[in-house]
Amino acid sequence: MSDGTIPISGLRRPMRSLGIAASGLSAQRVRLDAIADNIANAETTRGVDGQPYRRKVVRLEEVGFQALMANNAPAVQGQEGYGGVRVGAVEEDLSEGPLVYEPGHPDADENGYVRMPNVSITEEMVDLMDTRRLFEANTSVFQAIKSMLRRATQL
Amino acid sequence: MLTRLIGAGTTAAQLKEGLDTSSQVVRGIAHRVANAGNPDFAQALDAAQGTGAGEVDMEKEMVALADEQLRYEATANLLQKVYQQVRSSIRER
Repeated sequence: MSDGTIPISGLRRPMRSLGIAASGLSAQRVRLDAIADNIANAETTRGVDGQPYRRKVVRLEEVGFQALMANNAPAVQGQEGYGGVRVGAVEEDLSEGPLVYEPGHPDADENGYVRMPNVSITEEMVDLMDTRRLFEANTSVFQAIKSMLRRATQL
Repeated sequence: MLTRLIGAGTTAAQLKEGLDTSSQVVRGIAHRVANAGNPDFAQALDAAQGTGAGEVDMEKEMVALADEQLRYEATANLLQKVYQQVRSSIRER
């Protein structure tokens, strides 16, 4: 998984707004990767470390300016950072998964219980919906900025 | 003389400033929408705005985006008109 960062500083100034929207798209894509991984491994009782799979959680971080808090606040020119979002870390949810009674399972303990991954499909589906909507929102912003830039070239 | 037509203090300069402001506002919207899935940002935003919502208001941002896009378009059209006027006034005939 990439960390989702976009080298916004490498873009020309008018294009940096596009970079901010692109960073949002990137971040949501990383979240989507994590959700896909979680759902694919919802029944994995033995991961790479021999333990049940643990749910992946993507932690996002803000990049750059803090002065954009107020609604409609313009970005201050020449301010440190260019704005946007990046993936801070992909962490593991350390909570324990449920114990399921399944004596025939190769990973069952002496009492016949198997520790399942702490993935809840419902929760992942809700997360997936959220990710998808946020991706779309960022797409809309990207399109809006793109059409504004195009208009500016036609003056 | 051309400074009086498109230089500082003219309509063209005001319109250009309007375009700049619009793109800065849109940049702010882009930043908040990009950080919509980031709880830390939402908290900081809440502290700054005092709304108590605990999240980025997407409807508000999308409306503001559409609004600003139209404003930009309108300003660009007006600026284009000004340029057309200047252009036709410096042309012979």
